[in-house]
Order: sequence, then C-alpha cells, then structure tokens
Amino acid sequence: MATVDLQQQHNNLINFLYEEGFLDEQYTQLEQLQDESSPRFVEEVLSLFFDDSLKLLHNIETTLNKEPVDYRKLDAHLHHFKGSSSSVGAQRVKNVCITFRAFCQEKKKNGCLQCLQQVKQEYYLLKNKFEDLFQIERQILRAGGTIGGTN
Amino acid sequence: MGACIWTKETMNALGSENQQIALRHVGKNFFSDTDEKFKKNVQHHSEEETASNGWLMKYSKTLQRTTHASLFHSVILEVLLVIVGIAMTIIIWFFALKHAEHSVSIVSDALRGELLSHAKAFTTSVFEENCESAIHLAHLIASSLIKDNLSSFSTLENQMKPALFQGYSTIPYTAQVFYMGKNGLFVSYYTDFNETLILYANRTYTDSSMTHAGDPASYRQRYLWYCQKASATTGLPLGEAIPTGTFSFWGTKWFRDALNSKNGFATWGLAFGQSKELLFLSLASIKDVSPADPSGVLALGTPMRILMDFITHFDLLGGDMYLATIDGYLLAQTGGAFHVGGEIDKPILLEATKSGNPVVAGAALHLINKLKNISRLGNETFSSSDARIQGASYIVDSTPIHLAGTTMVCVVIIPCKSIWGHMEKQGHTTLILLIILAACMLFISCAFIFLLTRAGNREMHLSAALIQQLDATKQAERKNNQKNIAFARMSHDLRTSLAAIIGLIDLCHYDVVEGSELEMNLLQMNSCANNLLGLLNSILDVSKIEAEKLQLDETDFNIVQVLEEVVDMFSVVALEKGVEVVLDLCDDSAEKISWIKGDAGRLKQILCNLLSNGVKFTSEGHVILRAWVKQVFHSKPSVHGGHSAQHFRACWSCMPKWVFEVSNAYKQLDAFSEVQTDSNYVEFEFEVEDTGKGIPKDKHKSVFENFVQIDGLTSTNHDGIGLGLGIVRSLVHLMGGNIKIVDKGEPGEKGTCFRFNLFFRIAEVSVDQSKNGENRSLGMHVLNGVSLWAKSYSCEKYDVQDWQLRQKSSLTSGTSEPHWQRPALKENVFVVLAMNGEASKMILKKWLEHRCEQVLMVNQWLDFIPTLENLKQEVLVQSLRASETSEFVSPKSLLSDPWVDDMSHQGDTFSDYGVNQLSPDGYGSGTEESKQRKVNGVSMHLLVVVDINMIVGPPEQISAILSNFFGVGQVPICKVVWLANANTPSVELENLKRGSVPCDLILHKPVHGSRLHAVWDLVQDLSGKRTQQASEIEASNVLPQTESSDEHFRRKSFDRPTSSLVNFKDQKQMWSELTQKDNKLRAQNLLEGMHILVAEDNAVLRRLAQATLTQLGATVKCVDDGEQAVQIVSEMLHSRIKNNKDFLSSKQCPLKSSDDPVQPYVFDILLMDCEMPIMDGYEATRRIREEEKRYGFHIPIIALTAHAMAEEARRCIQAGMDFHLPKPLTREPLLNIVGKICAEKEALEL
Repeated sequence: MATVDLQQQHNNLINFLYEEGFLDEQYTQLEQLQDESSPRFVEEVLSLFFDDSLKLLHNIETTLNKEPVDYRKLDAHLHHFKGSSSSVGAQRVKNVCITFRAFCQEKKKNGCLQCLQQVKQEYYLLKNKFEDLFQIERQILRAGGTIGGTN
Repeated sequence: MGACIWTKETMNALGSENQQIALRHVGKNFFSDTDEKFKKNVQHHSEEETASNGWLMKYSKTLQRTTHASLFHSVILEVLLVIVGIAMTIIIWFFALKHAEHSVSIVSDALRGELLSHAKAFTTSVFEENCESAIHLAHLIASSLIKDNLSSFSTLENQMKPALFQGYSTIPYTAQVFYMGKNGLFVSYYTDFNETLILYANRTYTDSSMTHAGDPASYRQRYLWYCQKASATTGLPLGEAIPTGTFSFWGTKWFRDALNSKNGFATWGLAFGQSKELLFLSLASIKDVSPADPSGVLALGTPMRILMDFITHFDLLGGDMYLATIDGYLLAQTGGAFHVGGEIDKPILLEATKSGNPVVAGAALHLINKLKNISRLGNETFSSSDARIQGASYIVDSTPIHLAGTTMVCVVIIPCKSIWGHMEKQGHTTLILLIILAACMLFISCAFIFLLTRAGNREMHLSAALIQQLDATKQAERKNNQKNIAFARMSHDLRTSLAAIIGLIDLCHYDVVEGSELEMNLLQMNSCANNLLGLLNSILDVSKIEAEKLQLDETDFNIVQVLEEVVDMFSVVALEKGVEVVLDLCDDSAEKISWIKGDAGRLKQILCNLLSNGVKFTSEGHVILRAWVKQVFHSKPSVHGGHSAQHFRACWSCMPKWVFEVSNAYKQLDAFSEVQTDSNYVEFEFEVEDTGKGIPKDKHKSVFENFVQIDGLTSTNHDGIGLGLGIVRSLVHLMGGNIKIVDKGEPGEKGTCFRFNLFFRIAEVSVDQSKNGENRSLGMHVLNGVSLWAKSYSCEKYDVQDWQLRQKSSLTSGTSEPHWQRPALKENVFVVLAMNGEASKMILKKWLEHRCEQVLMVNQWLDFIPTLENLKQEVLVQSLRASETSEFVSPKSLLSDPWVDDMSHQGDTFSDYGVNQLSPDGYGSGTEESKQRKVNGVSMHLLVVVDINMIVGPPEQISAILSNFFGVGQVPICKVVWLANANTPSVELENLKRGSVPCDLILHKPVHGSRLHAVWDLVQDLSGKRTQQASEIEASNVLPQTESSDEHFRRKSFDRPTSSLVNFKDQKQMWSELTQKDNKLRAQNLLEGMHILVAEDNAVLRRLAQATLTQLGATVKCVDDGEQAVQIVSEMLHSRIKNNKDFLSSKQCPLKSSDDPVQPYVFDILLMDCEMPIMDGYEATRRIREEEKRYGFHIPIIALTAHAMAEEARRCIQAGMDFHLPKPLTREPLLNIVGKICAEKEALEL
C-alpha cells in the first residue's frame, strides 16, 4: 500500500512539475528512454545536468563579475546551459536561459545579472523538486515497486 | 556621322549575308530565286543611288564655281575701288598744288613787278630829278646868276662858284657838281670821304685867243688845276689849293653831246677824289649867250651808291637785284664786292657776268644765253623762271629804265625756293602722307581681300562639305529604307517557302518508319526549320518596324493568361538548365484589370524575348517575371512618364465618384461603365529579373540596339543575332511604353533587371462574356476593370474615403507593400511550404502570407518535421493562452455548425471544434491524450505544400508524419498540395492520384495565376468559409480551363463525389494504421548492430543521445569534441585499410563488416554537434572528409544543431555533413534519416 501511496505521490509531483511548467515533453522523452537496461536513467541524466549546470552557473557568475564582461564567452556558456536544460526538459530554466541570452546579445549587464538570479532560483527550485522526486523514487524501488509504469 | 552610317549599313549587310547563308544552307534551290531577286533589288537601288549621287556632285561643283566667281568679282571691285581712291587723292592733290602754285606765281609776279617798279620809280625819281635839277640850274646860271662872260675865270670864281655850291648843297643825292666850260674852265664841288672839296682850273694858262683860235689841246694845257678844301656850309675855299692833274673833259663825246643837247644829257662817270665812286652824271648845257652856242656844261653827279643802298634795303626774299647798262655792264647790285675802275670820263664798268655776286653773274649769263639780242631788254620787260644758278632755280625779271637818253636794265633775281619752296615742301609732305595713306589703304584692302577670300573659301568648303554630308545622309537613309522595304516585301516569299519546307517535313514524317534514323533527321530538320522561321521572323520584325509598317493588332485578351502562358513555356526550357522561371503578380493588381485591349501577340513576343534572354544567360538561380498595374488613366496618356501627377489628381477626383455612384445606383452601372471604359487606359509595369551574369553598366543603352550583343564572345557561345532586345525596345515604344535596365536592389547582386511599361485600353467585357459561366467561374478575379472595383468594393462596404486611403497608401508605398485589394486574411490557416527553388518559394510565400496567418518555410526535407513541431508548439502556446481566457464551447453547437464563419468570431477561441466530435470512436485515450488536449486548444487549419522533388524517400511517409503530428483526430483540417515538375515521372503522379498518399491537389510548377487560385480555394475550404457547393462549382470550372492549358494540374479531391466527412474517415483509418506500424517499428531495435559515434561537448546531451541510440539497439561511442572524433575516425580508417586486402580477397562486402566483431569496424553514422570547444563540428567534418578521401570511404555524418534554421542547415551541408537534425535529439527524425542512409547503402550495394 505504501508503494501505491508513494507512486501516487510521485505522479502528483510529476504532474505538478508539468503543470507549473517546470518540465515539458522532452522530459517525457527522457522517461521513455528509461527501461530495464537502465532503470536509473532519468536520475543519472538529471544528476549530470545538475552537476554540469552548477559548474556552468559558477562560470557564468565569474564571467559576469569580471570587467569587462566577455559576452561571447557568456553566450557560449548560456548556449550550453540552454542546450542541456532543453534536453532534459527543464522548461523554465530553458526559458530563462533564452531571456538571459537575449540580454547577453544586447550586452545589457543589468538584465544579465537579473537573469542570473532568476536562473539560479529556477535551478535550485528544480533541483529541490527533483531531489524530492528521486527520494520518492528510491523509496518506491526499495519498496519493490516500479516507476515507469505510471507514465 | 558618315562613319556611323557606314557601320550600320555594314551591319545590315552582314545581317542579310548571315541570313542568306542560313537560307542557302537549308534549301539552296528554294531560295536561289529569292536571292537573285534580292540581289537585283539591291543592285537596282545602288544604281539609282549612284545616278542621283552624280547629279548632286555636279550641283555641288557648280555651286563651288559660282561661289568662286562671285568672290573673284568682289576682289576685283575692291582693287578698283582702292585704285580709284588713290588716283582721286593724287589728282586732287595735284590740282590743289597747281592751283596754289598758280596763285603763288601770280602773287610772286606781282611782287616782282612791284619790286621792279619800285626800283624803277626810285631810280627814275632820283636820277630824273637830278637831270631836271641840272637843266634848271643850267638855266638859272645862264639867265640870271651869271651876268658876266663865263669864259673868264673870275666870273667863275665869283659867280659860278656860289651858284654851283648852292646847287651842290641843295639838290639831293648830289655828290658832285661841276661846270665845264667850252673854253676849258672847270669848277667843281665834290665830296670825298665826307670832305667837301673844290676842284677848279686856274686861269693862269688861260688865253682867250688861243682858246678861240684853236687847238683845244694847247688850250687846255694852259690851265692849272687845283684842288682845295672848302667849307661844307659856305663853299668858300679853305686851306691851300693843291695842284692836281687835269681832266681833259672837252674832248669827250658825252661833253659834246651835252653841249648839243637841248634837254640835258646823262652819262656815267666816276667820282673825283679818292673814292672813285660810280656816278650818274646829269649834264645840261648852259646857253648864256645864245641858245645855239652854249658856253659850257653843268653836271650833277649822283652816286650810284645811293641806288645800291636803296635796292639793298629791298626785301628780295633771299634773291638779288642788279642794275646794268644795256650793254651788260653792271651799275649797281646787291651783295658782293663792286668795283669800278677807270677815269671820270671813261669809267671802266664791270660786266655783269663777272660780278662778284655769283647769283648776279649767273643771272646775267642766263639772260645773255636766253636772249639772242640783249638789247631787247632796253625795250621791254622780260621774265624767266627757269634760271639755274649754282644748282638752284631762280626767277629772273628785268625791266628797262629810260633816263635822259640812257637806258638801264633793272634785274631782280629771286630764288624759286623762297616763293614755292615752302609750298613745295608742304606739297611734298602732303604727297608723302598721301602715299603713305595710299600704301596703308592698299595694305588694308589687301588684308581685307585676303580675309574675305579666306572666309569665302572656308564657307565654300563648309558648304561643299555640308552638301556632301547631306547627300551621304540622304543616300544612306534611302538605302536603309529601301533595304527595309525590300526585306518587308521579301517576307512573304521567304515565309511561304519556309512554311512549305516545314509542311513537307511533316508530310515526310508521317511516312517514315518510327525510330529510324530518317525520322531523327526529319525531326532535326523540323526544329531547324522552325528555328530558322523564328530567326527570320525576328529579322522581318526589325525591318518592318524600321520601315514603320508594323501595325498593332488590338484585341481583347486576358493579360494574366498571357503572362502565365509565357512563363509556363519557359519554365519547361529553364527546368532543364536548373533555372526557375517564376511569375510574380506582386500585389495582384494585374488580376483586377486583367481584361485589356491590346496586341497580345506582340506582348507575348516582348516577354518571350526577354525571358528567353534571361534563361539563356542564367546558369543558376531564377528568372522572375513581375507585373503590376501602375496607374489608371481616363484618357490616353499623351506622354509617358514624368507627368503622372496630373493623372493622379484626375484619378482621385473622379474615381471615388464612380464608386459612389455605382454603389448608389447600381442599375446605371452598365451604361456608366461603358462610357467610362471607353476612355480608360491602364499602365502596366513589367519586370524581368534574372540572376545571370548581368550586363555591364556601360552597355545598358547599347544592348537595345539592333545587332548589338554584349561582347563578341557571347555571339559564338549563344545563338542569336542580337536582334531580340532591339525588337523588344521597338515594340515597347510602339505600344507607348519605355524599357530600361534598372539596378537591382542590392549592388552586389548578380543579374539583370529589365523594366518596361505598357499602356493598354481596359477592355469592355461584353455582356455575353460576363453572363456566361466562365466569368462566374473566375469568380471575382476576372471582371471588367472598373466595374469590378466598384462591385467588389461596394460589396465589401468600404466607404469612399477608406477606399481612397487604401489607394493612396498602395500607390505611395509602391509595389513592395501591396494593398491593392488585400483579400481577407484567413485566421488560423497555417501553411507549411516545402518546395525547391528559392525565388518561387519566396513569391508563393508572399502570396500566402497575405492570405494566411502564418507561412512556415521548409528548405530541406529534413526540416519538415521540425517545422511542424515548431508550429505545433506555437499553436499550443496560443491555445494555452486562449484557454486561460475562455471556456470551452459546447461540442453540440459546433456539431450543428461545423463551417462556422470564423470572420464573425475574430479574437474568439476556437477551442476544440469539429474533429473530435466527428470521429465516432473518439480517439483520445492513452498517451495521446495530453497532446490532443493541447492541440485541440485552438483550431488549426494546416495547408501543406510539398514539392514532390523535395521529399526524400517515398511520398507515403507524409501521411505518417502528419498523423504523428496531429494525432488522428485532427486529420481533416489538413490539406496537402503536391507540387510537381514537368519532368516528374507520371508514375508518381499516378501514385498521388490513386490516393495512397494524402493529396488534395496536384499542381505543376511554376505555381502562379490560376493554380494559385486553386490553392486559394483550398485555403478557403480549410477555413470553412466556402460552402461545399461553391467548391464543387469551382472544381468543375477550374478543371476544363487547366486541362486546356496542357493539363497542368488536377484536383483529386473533387474527383470524388463524397463529402469531406467521408474523406476524413478514410484518412484517419489510414493514419491510425500507420501509427500502429510506427509503434511496431519502435519496438524493434532498428539500429541493431550499428556503430554510432557521438561527438558532443554537453555531457547531458551526450548522455541523452547515448541513451536514445542505445535504446534503439546501436552501439554508441561518445567523444567530447571534434578533435577526438577526427582522431578516432582516422585511426579506425587506418586500421581498417590494413585489413582491406583481406576483405577484397574474401570478397566480403565492407559494409557488413560491422556485424563481424573480429573485424575492426567503421562507424556507420557520426552524430556531430556543430558547436563544440577545441574543434567544432564543421571543422571536424571537413577533416574527416579529407581523411576519408584517402581511403575512398564515406561515413554519413549527421549534424546536430541548436538553431533549427535553414541557414545553419546550409552551412552544415557545405561543411560536408550529410544530414542535419535539430537538438535535442529525438527518435523519429533520427530514424527517418537512418532509414534514408540505409536505403542509399542498399542502392550502393545493388
């Protein structure tokens, strides 16, 4: 029964993430890639994403704080960030990245800083959510249930 | 000028020669007679010309001659005038001088006379008075004074002496007074050196008897002569008497003459004393006793010195004067020394010729020479003006002076110089001046003549040259005209012959065995003959135009149709070259006024020429024909261009009125429009643009000339004789327009753009035409121009002002932003345009954009699905937004009114209408649910236009794509239009028609005009504005029209009598099957056994790709950047080549090597991220391709890009990549591409 609850919780959380626009169908694609051969695929990819993004955020921050700001470098980082976020379906992060890039291309530092904060916020929000999600998933697996089935 | 003409003529001649050669080539026998005719004609003309030429030459020579003569005359006249002028001046001068000389000589004569008479008078007065005085004194002495006998000395002493002294002192000019008695007594007073002296003979020796008796000699000697000084006042002797020599006067002749004379006597003598002065002695006998026997003689001596002094004081003007005796002995003279010698009684006078004054001497000599008898001078005056003395001219005048028995000659010598000298000098000066003047005149006149002559000469030459030039021009013109006329005349013969040839070829063609060599030859002959006919026609056109014999054949025609026909014709030709030929009607203004009156054939000819040129010179790219209405006139425009403002105003003031009237009083429309259209003209502007090599700017003008081609080389590379553009220009001019080459928008752009405008009358579409079905079939598109406007606008309820504004804005903004009559925008109609050919795509896009909400372009088949995805996303976003504001419409209402008028619901959401409810089984479960929900949020009508040449793989896949895209429920609101080329295999078309593929319409490229209308109908169908009925009518009408125009397209959907509902069902079933198949495919490991290398820097993406591919069964290797990828690939190739020989020996296919784990494998596919650090995807691909070249191998590389843009895609292809996928990697497109790769491989293996 606990598994069912957990699964319910899991589904709710996923649905919430969809509804709030945190995720898009790309995530669905991601989920589809997860099968018996790689049961922890989503988690793996997302942890990759979060690690990568942390580095990127750090890079972005240092680039922005250095005077004069190297917008080309910043743009490259953002491109990377956007690519990764869109490939995992982190829609809100991706959207902020798009705005961020627009500011970057216009070379507006204030906007960039604002976006940086925003993107950080989104990133941590998502990260927290997923940490919860993975927590639940681990619990489900420990309890002997499966995750993919409810999708 | 001549040169120009010559060149043109040569060109013409060359042209004709070309033509002749060509003609001979085709049919010598046919044309030999024509040839001869032509030659004869030309010869005849040339003869005529030479004749007229000769006449003209003669004329010009005559003219030259007359000009010469007139010039010569004027010169002679000039010379004469000058001579006469000079002669007149000299004559006048001469006469004036003569006259002056004459007057001067008169004056001088008078002067000389005066001088002479003056001298004479003085001389006379002095000497005559003395003579008189002598006589009177003698009388006095004889009568009263002396009482005593005079013979005694005492008497003399006492009585005679005082008397004599009285006489001496009182009588003027008397220098000497003396008495000489017969008896030898002598008393005298005289002046010597201012002393008065008495000279007397003493009586001592006096003896009266002796005196009486006798011998006078003895008598005389008896007297002693004494000289004694005397007082000047009293006459009394002073001092001692000094004895002196005797003066034996008694024996002299003049003494005796004086004694005997009664009235006194005069003679010459010398003064006593030292002075020895020459004296004029006046003698008078003293008859004291008896008158018969005078006792003695009284003498008064007047010195000639007085006379000399007198004459010296005369103003003789530099001349001289002298007095001489008649014998020529000098008495007195001016200037020079004057000496007299001898005794008192016998003075020795100097001859005048020996005078000390050379002038006097000269004059005397002259007189002697001049006069034979010198004594003539004693009787008359004499004048000689030609005396030359000492080298100078003198005038010599003489006059006799008669004095008491003696005659003197007075001579005045005056130098001519002093009289005429001045005048002569003046005269000479005048003469010199005159001569100088004359010389000047002569010089000036000469110069004048010279100038005149030269000017005349030049003028003459000029006029001669002008005449020659005129002659040459006329000749050339005539020649040209005659040639043109000859050409025009020949046209009939030539064409008839050619037509005969063509006909014969056709005849032969029927009889010939199919597929034989003869047939081929005949076909070639036919095409050759046709080419020749075209060539001939163009030459004849030129000559016709030049001969001004070309008439425009005015008929009503549809301009759009003409344009379409022309473009269709060339698109086929261009297709072979890979060039697009596109018709762009820009703002569709041409469609509004499509029925016009004009020469359609000529218009076609213009367009054909331009288009064929464009196609000929364009090797890649496109040729666009644009057409639009520039302006509409009320009356025929007199001048084209530059005056539009007036017409505009006219338009504005009148046109709204019509509309107003028409909309108000619709019944009057027909009559009204008839009146109006009677004088309505429309100006069309056309543009033919190509992307060929272009025309250099300096040739822009010359290309329009006949026989001109851009450079010599092109004429060898391309056929044609350079007449095309010349004809085009002539025709355009004939139709009242103008043609020019305009610059392309961007300076670097290749190609040429011809722009020309033409004027046409707006045709009155007859009532029959407008009433018959065809017109209705054309809907609103083909109608009489103005009335159409009126109708359309009144229908759409535009008020006049609004309309005006629209017109204005459309005209001011030009063609770039057409508003001519913008059709209603169809909301929610999305178009996905997947076709080849940049230009036609752009035009189609533009056209669609004006009508549909959004047009998405697909440049490459790979982009097709992503584009659809994008569209979906967009629509999704819209629907989400819409769902926030509105609520769902109840399904029932939608069912009852499926073709809801979307215009009335603008801004509303269309939520999910229609489809879901139409499908009875209600697809909407499982995984599709969420998607469907989203897509259903907005009503989306999709029009897919797919080029059949673009699609990769079988066309059936589109149904899979579409079903995948929409979900099954949405199918019916999608229409698919297939575009086919002329060379599309008919099998494929059959396939499409058969219905194995979703297909609503098949259009043949180029897409324009009526085909666009078909598309438009589809769009309207989609948006649901049209009723089914209408579309059916449309269908039935469109088909015949299009079939007649070479069956360019067919509408498949209308071939089926079923309603669209049935269609939907069919299609849905089909698509659901496909989806199931897809699922099956998915279950299989499609990529089983494939080795795939993924080069991706983004760890997340890398992992993702890896997962995706692994799931599909592939063996995946990942690298971080391009460099690593290159390294791995090259290593692999290297190791593989090592073992290659084994493969070859075992004849194993290298492609299957991947299945064998023992063999080193080569990647089957490379997935390459484009943007990577260290080495990006493009560079890596280039390196790999280089590497591969060495081994003769090709690994398919798929690019992964974040920018799903066509540009990026092109860049990928350029870099050497084979395919291109947008990030993030998804399965379907990947599978698609893999499928393609596999197909290629199979093809290779086969």
